[in-house]
Amino acid sequence: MTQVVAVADHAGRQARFSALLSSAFSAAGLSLEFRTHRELAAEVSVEQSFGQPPAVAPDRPLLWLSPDDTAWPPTPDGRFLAAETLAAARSIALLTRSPVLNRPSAVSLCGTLPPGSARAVRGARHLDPEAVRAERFTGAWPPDAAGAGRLEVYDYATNRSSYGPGSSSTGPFRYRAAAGPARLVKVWVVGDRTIATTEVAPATLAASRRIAAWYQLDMATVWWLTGQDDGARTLSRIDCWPWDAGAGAVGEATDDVAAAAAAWMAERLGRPAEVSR
Amino acid sequence: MIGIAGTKADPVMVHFAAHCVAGDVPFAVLDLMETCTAGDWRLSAPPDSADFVSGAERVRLADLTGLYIRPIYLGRTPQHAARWHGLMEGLGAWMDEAGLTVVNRLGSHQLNGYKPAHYAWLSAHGLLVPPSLLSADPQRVREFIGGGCAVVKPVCGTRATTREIRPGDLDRLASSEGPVLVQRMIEGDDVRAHVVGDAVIACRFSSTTIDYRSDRAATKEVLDIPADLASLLVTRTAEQGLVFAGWDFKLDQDGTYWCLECNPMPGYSFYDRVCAGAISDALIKLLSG
Repeated sequence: MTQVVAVADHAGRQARFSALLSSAFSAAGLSLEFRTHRELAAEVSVEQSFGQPPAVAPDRPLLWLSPDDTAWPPTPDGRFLAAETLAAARSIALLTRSPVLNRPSAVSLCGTLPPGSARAVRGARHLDPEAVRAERFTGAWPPDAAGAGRLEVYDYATNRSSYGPGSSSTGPFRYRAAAGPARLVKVWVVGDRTIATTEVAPATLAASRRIAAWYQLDMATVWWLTGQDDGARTLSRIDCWPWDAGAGAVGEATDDVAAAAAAWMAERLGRPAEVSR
Repeated sequence: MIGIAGTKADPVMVHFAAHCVAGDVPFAVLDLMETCTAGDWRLSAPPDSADFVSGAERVRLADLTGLYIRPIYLGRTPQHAARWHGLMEGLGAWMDEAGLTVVNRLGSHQLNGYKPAHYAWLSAHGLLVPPSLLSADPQRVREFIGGGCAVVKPVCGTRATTREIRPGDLDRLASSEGPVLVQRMIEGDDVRAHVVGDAVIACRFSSTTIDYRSDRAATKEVLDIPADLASLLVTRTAEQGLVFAGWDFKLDQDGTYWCLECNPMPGYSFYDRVCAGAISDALIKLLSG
């Protein structure tokens, strides 16, 4: 049986999602093991021979689910080792010839998704021009923002989003015009499948698929604000890492997402997708 | 007016600014660390005529014909980190959509910091790259070293002095905390070729040490590299989303150019002195619009 490896913080920030993946892969008849970046780098070699493509050994199907193992170490030596580990793991994931879910690229650790949230959303504007808002970044809260209407504000000092700046925060800030009366909708994209826990317009599901495909993401979460009156959609956020908690948390529907990830891999390994939800 | 964004603690930035002064070229300094610690900014995506960065001086970004940025973080506190994060996200978003020439945009290739992937890309794109091995398996590394002289390098692209690895070093590998990257050592002179837009400026170094950068006695000279190689470098630089890059080669006795790496943020001031300022001149021409 082909062994699939999930590169994840499986004992920490992705423990819950990792458990769901285990169940889903087992149900799909696939063998799944977990590795941190460090564990992956310790057991895989990459050889570049003259005039040959690189050889990754062992070359196994991967789920590339995590950007790092732990919080950034406090010491210079620790940071160097973490950087070495990440560089090795990213190279392995990029060069593996077997299927890799969310394979890193030359420009990004995850597909081609830019590292900054605003850049990721703005970079998709040609796909859905009406859905993407202008963004502004400031070091301090600018006086002219008072007349700019209702604003959605991200505060880099607190890592929190709110409507308007926090009363005592010094910033810096990123802000954009708030959408009208709207509800927040999260759409999971896994391959060509979309998963949502609430009713979502087919056009929004299709737009989510286009965005994931544009950034070469096999698994992504696309967040929208959909108008309560007119159904108009506004793109809010694009994520590629499945965290258990925090702003990009996997939330509900994770059984289905894990099953879809197993099906995605089964299809690429030439096995019938045994799970269909 | 050219914008120079970085920190005055960076000798490359100081070198470029000094070259602008000497050539009477108008420029503005965007001191990113000063902006981060005590300044302010307003950056828009899409760009807006009122966008500015204010550190040592207040710079209106619409006045710039080109931007040379070397974002080197030197902060020490969580507050610095948060402000740097906000500033870099803003600059990155602004640069993505600004029409001016930027050396280099943040969205360009990052593979230089992921050496095995970098070597694979170079090898697949027409460059001759010395064989290499990334492994934490001492036996595999031993076999590689047994095939000929080899050097050990950082995997992540951190600047370090290149040194030879010998079988006796493998005892330490067994107890190390991660894989090592070894590469077949190529005997010969070193060549650094800078690509600036369509221009290629190269210099050659002869040294008795493995890493010529640590050899004060190394001889150095300006070099015309073969036209087909120069053309290839211009193409491959652009394909990485770069307009300025520093390419490192070993030139062996047969006249073969072995590519060691393509540096997307070259610390070029040392080489510029060898080339009598030709790299700075090319940068100024590129960034002057």
